[in-house]
This record gives sequence, structure tokens and C-alpha cells, in this order.
Amino acid sequence: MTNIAVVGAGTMGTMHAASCRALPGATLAWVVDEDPERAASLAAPTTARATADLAEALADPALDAVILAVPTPSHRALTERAAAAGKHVFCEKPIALTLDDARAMTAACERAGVRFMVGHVVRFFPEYARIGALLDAGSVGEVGVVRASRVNAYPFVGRGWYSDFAWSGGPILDMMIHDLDTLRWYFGEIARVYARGLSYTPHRAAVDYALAIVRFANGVVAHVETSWAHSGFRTSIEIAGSGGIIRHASDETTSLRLEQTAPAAPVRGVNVPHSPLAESPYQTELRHFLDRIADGGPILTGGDEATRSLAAALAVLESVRTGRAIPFTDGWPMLESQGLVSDIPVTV
Amino acid sequence: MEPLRVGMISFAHDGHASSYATCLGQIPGVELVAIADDDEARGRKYAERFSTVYYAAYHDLLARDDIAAVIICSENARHREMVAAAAEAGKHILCEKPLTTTRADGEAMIAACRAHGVKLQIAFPMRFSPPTIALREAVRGGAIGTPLMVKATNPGRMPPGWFSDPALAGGGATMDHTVHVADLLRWIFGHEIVSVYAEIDARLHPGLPTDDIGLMLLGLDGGLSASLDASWSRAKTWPIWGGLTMEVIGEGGVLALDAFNQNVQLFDDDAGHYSLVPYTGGGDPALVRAFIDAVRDDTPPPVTGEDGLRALEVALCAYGHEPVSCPDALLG
Ligand SMILES: NC(=O)c1ccc[n+]([C@@H]2O[C@H](COP(=O)([O-])OP(=O)(O)OC[C@H]3O[C@@H](n4cnc5c(N)ncnc54)[C@H](O)[C@@H]3O)[C@@H](O)[C@H]2O)c1
Repeated sequence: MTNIAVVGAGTMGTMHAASCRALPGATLAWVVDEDPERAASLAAPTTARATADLAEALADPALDAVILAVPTPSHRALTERAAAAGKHVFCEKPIALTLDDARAMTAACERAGVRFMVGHVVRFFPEYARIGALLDAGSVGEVGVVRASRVNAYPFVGRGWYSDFAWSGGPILDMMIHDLDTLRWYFGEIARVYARGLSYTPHRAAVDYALAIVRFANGVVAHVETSWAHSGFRTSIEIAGSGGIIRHASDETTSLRLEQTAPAAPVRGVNVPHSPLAESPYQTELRHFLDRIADGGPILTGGDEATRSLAAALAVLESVRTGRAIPFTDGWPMLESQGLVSDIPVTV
Repeated sequence: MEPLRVGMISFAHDGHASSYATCLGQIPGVELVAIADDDEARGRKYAERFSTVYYAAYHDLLARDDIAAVIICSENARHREMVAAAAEAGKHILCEKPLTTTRADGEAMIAACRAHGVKLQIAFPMRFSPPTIALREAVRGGAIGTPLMVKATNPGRMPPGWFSDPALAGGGATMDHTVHVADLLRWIFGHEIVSVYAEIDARLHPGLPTDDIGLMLLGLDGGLSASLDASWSRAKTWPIWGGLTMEVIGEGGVLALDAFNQNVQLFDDDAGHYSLVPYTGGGDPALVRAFIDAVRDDTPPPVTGEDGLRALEVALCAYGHEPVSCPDALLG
């Protein structure tokens, strides 16, 4: 049994707390949030203790691991504290906003001898895992050109900190990083990227958007779209090879659809998944974390992988900012800035 | 009233040529009176199908005084020679896209038509496709506020024959499929394309002597950016030849065009896969009609040789400096 503290009782913390409760190998032992009410309300229906003080949870010798679901700028400090306390760390993506922070986190966990996993959950989505398996089986021959897309609405209220570019890095660090990470998993290291987007463009409306062309070292060419300009969330991926095409689009695989007669039946708070699964991808990723803690085996989305995906996202941002293509060597981009450049005003 | 007599030179681009021939037949007062093709079997086949006269040598067709206009659907690299000859013979010209394969040829074609006082229209049927027209009107009507970014695709199955012979086509997928979207971008947004970044490769068809992957990011003057996927990436089992999509991201919303998404689904056991069967004629009827109107009314054609050249330059630029952007090549 692995005793877990969920740190950050927001959207993702709530998700991870549910995974802890669903997985037989995990116990939700602590809920930590700097806002004590949030911690208390997430802990309430469980046997977990709530606290606003991470130190209190880290001092619990029975605690094995922490799940960090706090805004990205806090990832490094909390990872280092948890590692120093000898707790395994699962940290939400993006790992950090700078490569220095990302490397320091990985090093801190190595030094402390604790496992470190970053929540690149798309690799654990069954559709993306299935695509990976199809690619491994050579289902479409030699892969040529790929299109990946992940769009969402602008994060206004409720996701307050996301609209602060200096905290989130906008949709490139928040969303495109998922596809960059997944494509790296499929096709290996990147050779160069070029991108255009709105992250550094002052505009009146609240929209952010980017398009990137990614060339992989193995020759695959990919088009990657990320958006905070649409009205809702959806993803798609298409992989064209010499022997056929693999594609998946989230809005074409709806296995359950709810239509209520508005406005009599408000749907607020009712969450009906479009594609109900026996095990959520968040449970699958947490199970991977627990299994690797138990057997010491390689973690699919460890610190180095997450740092490389962060570097790829930073390269896309730098290309958007500078208008130049960014070359990579051995999977690492040649960057002017090793971290998020956020001092360019974004007019919202 | 005398009918307007039209000749067609080469059915090398046979899909489009036969569509244009069909469209001609639907316009009152217009007659397709001759087809010239140096591929005799092909020429005779279509001459018979469209109940018209066959010539082996296009010069013989051009020598006929009763023919006022020609439609040229030869291989890309042969457009120049045929357009120049037709202009010299005083025929108005509808020329298949892309204009040609080099900038010098394109400029020479435009100059020849100007010198002989004939009209030169380029066959960009997407300007006449009802969904595309509706997109343009919605954008220009302010439906999504100021346009900021565009995501476009124009993928297809690899066409057979000369399309993948660089000597005749001037390139592969990127030459074949860049110009439609390049022209639409100019036409919809009213801005020129001033920078091109491209990743071009051949990975999908083993042994292909030219590219089958063309992925581009374009910059327009005025600040708009657009991506374009021109790849021959549709599988043989894909339900339709390809398509053209354009998603416009504006300050106030998103407008998504899927221009060829007007089909019925056909599940045919003999085909081994399902197919999408169009229920509209696309832009070809209005394209041909516009050319005929320009000839009859002696008005400027709605799509000019210059339009063809601007679109061609984007493809040439994409091939030019991989993978750097090359605004100079376009601006200079
Ligand atoms: N894997 C995914 O698909 C995915 C999706 C969304 C968010 N995320 C990532 O998850 C992380 C959290 O995002 P979220 O949407 O859940 O945020 P959120 O704003 O919903 O919740 C964050 C919570 O953390 C608390 N908090 C902030 N700083 C803290 C600190 N120092 N100590 C303790 N508590 C603190 C806040 O009070 C809040 O309750 C981010 O890194 C984000 O990028 C990942």
C-alpha cells in the first residue's frame, strides 16, 4: 500500500484524489492546499487528513509519495522539499517553466533516491497508447507526415492562473507540450522546429494560438496545433505512412452523449464523459507510478523525458517569439533562453 | 447569335479537362468544337466522348479562325509553349493551375497574352466553390472579428502519371497542391504572402522521384500567419481523393471550412472500403462560366495570370531554401 499526499486541491488534485481512491494499491493519506478550506473539502469524504502546511504531511513517516498538482511555478520548490523528505514525487506537467528548474528537480529526486514521474498523461490515454502500439507493429509502413491538434477555450474564470502567461506559458506550455511529448514518444528526438503563433502578439481579445512544424531526427514531419481560441476541448491526431493512415479525433469517438432540455435541467457539476472508460488515463498513469515505485523499473515519463518535452515546447515558444527555426542536437534545442520569456506584454 | 466556339488543348490533366468540357456543354451558346492532344488515344477518346473534332497537333486547332478561346490542360511544364502559341493566334486562354513551373515562364506567359491582347485566366476553381465563397463572405462580414491565424490543408492521394515527374510537373505534391490555398489566402484576406517556411520530403511512396510531403508555414503582409499541408498523404483506402480545409482563427471566434465535405457515404462491398460520393459539382461550373463571360463581355477575367504567378511563387519559394523562410525570393 502506497500512502499518498495530494498537494493542490484544484482541478488536477481532485482528479488524482479520485484515482487514489479508485486504485487498490493507493491510499489517500493527506490533502494539502495552501487554502485550508479546499484541502478540507477534498479530504472530507475520505480518511485523508487535510492541512495547509506541506511540512506537516512530509513529516508523516507513513507517507510514501506526493502528487504535486499546484500551479507550475511552484513545481520545483515543492518537488525539492518532498524529495528531501524522502518521498517519491509525481508532479503535474509541464515539469517547470525553465530547463534549470526541470534539471534541478530531476537531480534532487536522484540525489534523494526517490522516484520521479511527470504527469504526461496523454501517453496513458488508451487511444494514444493504441496508436503507439499500431506504430510499433508497423501498421502504416514508414511514417511520413503527422498532424496533431489540441484545442480548448480561453481559460477565463476558474482557471485564473492559466491566463497569466508568466505562470502557465500559454497554450504552448500548457497544451502543445502534450503532443510534443507524445510525438517524441512515438518518433524519437526532434531535429528542428518552426512555429508561428499569437503568444507574443498583443491583441485585443483573449485568444492564444500556435501552429508548429516539427521535423524529427528520423525524418518524420509533423504539424502541431494548439489553441485557446476555440469554444471547447478536443484533440485529434493523424499519422500518414507509406501503407496507410492512423487517425483519431476526440469528437468523432463519442460513445455517450447527453442532451438535456435546456434550461430546465442545468448541467453544472454533472460531468458526463464522452467516452466512458473502465479505467481513467489518470488512474492508469498513477498505477504506472505505483508499479514503478514497487519494482524500481523505468518510468515512462520521468524527469529527463519531461525536461526534453519542456525543451521542445520552449523551442516552439522561442520560434514564435523570434521568427526563426530552432535546430536541435541530440534532442536538445539550441535556445537563446533556457526558460519561459514572459516579459513581453500580452494584451488581454 | 453566333455561338462562342472553344477548343481544348491537351487532356493530360484529364480529370479537370473532362470536367471543364462538361461545364462548357452546359453553357448556352457555347460549343466545344475541337480537342487537340498529342496523345492520340487520349485525344480521340475525349473527342468522341464530347462529340467533337480531334487534332493531333494543337497548332492545327489554333489555326482555326472560328475558335475564340482555348482551355489548356497540358502538363505544367508545357503550359508556357501552348499559352504563348494560343496568345499569338489571338485566342483567349483558360489555363490549368499551376500557371507553369518557373517564374520566368510565368512572366513570359503573362507578357505574351498582354502583347496579343488576349485574356489569360488561371483555373482556380476554389474561388468559385460555394463553401469557400461563404467562408470569404463570413470573414469579410466580420463573423470572427479580425483574422489572426489560418490552418489550411489541401492533401490528396498521389495522382498517377506525369504529376510525379519533376521534368513535366516542376515538382511533386508541393507544386501540385500549394497554389490553391496560396490563391485562396490572397483572395480571402487581401494580403500577399511574404514568407514561406517549408518541410518538404518524399516518404510515403517508395521510389518517388519527387516530393510527396509539403508542410508550410506562411506569413502574409499585415501579420496573418497560415499553415498549409499540401502532402499526397491520403491513403489508397481513404474514402475520397483528398480535400481542402481552412480554419480561420479570429479575435472573435473560429470559422472552419471543409470545402469538399458535401458527400454521401457509399459502402460498396466490391470496393473493399467505403467512399464519399460528392453531391455537388464544386467550383468548376462557375469557374468555366466566369471565363466565358469575361470573353463574351470583354471584361477582365476574375482570376488573372498575375494571380497564378503569385501562387506559383509560394510553391517555388517552398522548394527554394529548405528549411529557411525566403521572403526575399518573394519580394524581390
Ligand atoms: N495533465 C493534465 O492534463 C493537466 C491538466 C490541467 C492542469 N495540469 C497541471 O496541473 C497543475 C495544477 O493545475 P490545476 O488546473 O489543478 O490548478 P488549480 O488552480 O485548479 O489548482 C491548484 C491548487 O493548488 C493550490 N496551491 C497553489 N499553490 C500552492 C502551494 N504552494 N502549496 C499548496 N497548495 C497550493 C491552490 O490553492 C489550488 O487549490 C499545473 O501544473 C497544470 O499545468 C495538468
